[in-house]
Amino acid sequence: MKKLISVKNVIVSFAVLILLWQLLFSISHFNEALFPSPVKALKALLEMAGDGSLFRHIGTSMYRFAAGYISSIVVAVLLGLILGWFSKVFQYVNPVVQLLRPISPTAWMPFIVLWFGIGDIPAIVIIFIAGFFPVLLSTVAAVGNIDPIYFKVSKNFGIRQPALMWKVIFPAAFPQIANGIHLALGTSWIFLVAGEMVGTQSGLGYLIIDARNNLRTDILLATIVVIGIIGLLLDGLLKVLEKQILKAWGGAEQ
Amino acid sequence: MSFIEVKEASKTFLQKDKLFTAFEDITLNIEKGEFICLLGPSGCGKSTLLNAMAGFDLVTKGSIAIDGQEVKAPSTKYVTIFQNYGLLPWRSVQKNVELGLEQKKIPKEKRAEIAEKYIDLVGLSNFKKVHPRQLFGGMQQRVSIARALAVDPEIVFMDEPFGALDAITRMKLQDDILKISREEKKTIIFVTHDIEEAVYLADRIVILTPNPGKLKCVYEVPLGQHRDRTSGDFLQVRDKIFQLFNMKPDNKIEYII
Repeated sequence: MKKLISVKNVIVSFAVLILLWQLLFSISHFNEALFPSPVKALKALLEMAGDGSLFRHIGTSMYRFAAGYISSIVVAVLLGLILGWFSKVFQYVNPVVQLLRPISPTAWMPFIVLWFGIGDIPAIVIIFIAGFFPVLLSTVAAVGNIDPIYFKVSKNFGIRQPALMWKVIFPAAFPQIANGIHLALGTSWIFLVAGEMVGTQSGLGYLIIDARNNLRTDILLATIVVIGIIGLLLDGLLKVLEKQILKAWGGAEQ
Repeated sequence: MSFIEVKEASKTFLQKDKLFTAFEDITLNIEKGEFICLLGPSGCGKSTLLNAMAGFDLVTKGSIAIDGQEVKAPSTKYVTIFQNYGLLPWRSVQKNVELGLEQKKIPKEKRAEIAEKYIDLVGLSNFKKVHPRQLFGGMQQRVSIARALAVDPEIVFMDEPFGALDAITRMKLQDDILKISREEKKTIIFVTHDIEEAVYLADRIVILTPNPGKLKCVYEVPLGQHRDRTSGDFLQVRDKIFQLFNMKPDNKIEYII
């Protein structure tokens, strides 16, 4: 029932937005070269879908996103678990992390292109950087917040590293790590477009640059909408996955 | 030589640059198979003493030895049961009970078999596959009792294990732990602030007074194995303990010389 209501909310919300948007075009004489009407954007979308180019670009982007995002999570969680355990070491690493964290991943672009050339890698690296810090910091914090009783019990039953890490520390910290992973999904998806705007000839980010160069605002807008929808779907997918894991591990933290 | 020997043991903490004494100069001998209650109000250092015996938090003066060996670290031979259970919520009941067995390199089938035996013993046969959060507090504490017994420890330390439970559940668990202690013949050291609980369970009650924690006396409970909370004998013993804590109202007698 709750799900049905939320679906209703989504449909009404989008319908009103599109209706207002189309209405403004109908009553005024706005130049469609500056901003396309919904009908025009939809036509552009169908055109791209029709010749298959849209799906090719989505496929390329998804591959880069998956590579960057997943490798980012794996590295950040592993490093976070280790740094969380050696909290003394983290006290020295933390200042550097805090210095690097606020730098937009795109600022590294020139270096990335110098080191890795053009193609898939720069976009993957940008996505990797974008996802890395939120996951790293939430993992370190999660390890620090583990209830000391788990360590007492582990000590009593003779569970030592490395078994302690995967038997106790990781599952105990997981709910909070999952928050970081979720946060990183949004950031990484945002930086996918930025990463593909430089040094690539394919992908959704490239599509935007290409549309701009050809003054095709209708394609531009259609691509933006596609990026939004995929972001929404990925978020929903991750939510479902998270729920499944937490359920398998005995329910959410109270 | 006694099984557990606490000799002139003291424990001091540094708390905000001030030295705080949890307990002082405690000497105590415990025999194998005894059910000992450490009884006292909060601040008497009873939990700290238990933690010192269990090897979590060592004494700063004196010594504690179990079976002739000085206590230096926790061991699977002596398992502690905590007030808030300490179950791993991501593991099922069965997997929680198997936790200590995994470290002992016991093969999988054997582990499951042992776990099953102790889950049955604490009466949770129908809840093997369930996760701890789905159980009531009393049932969760049963899981942690099963988990402790599964590694076949020589001593079970219990740190106010029933403190978070309602009165009726608590009495039920008291009965169960008594039964288990007799069947499994474990030495049990049980921390509580509940006088009735101590009288019901203990062979001997170690009475501690607070600030700093000191041993007042060790009281041997003159009751048999089958105790009845409502019997006259029981109430008499309970009265005696109240007296030891100076909690019985004095009869005002006027002396005439």
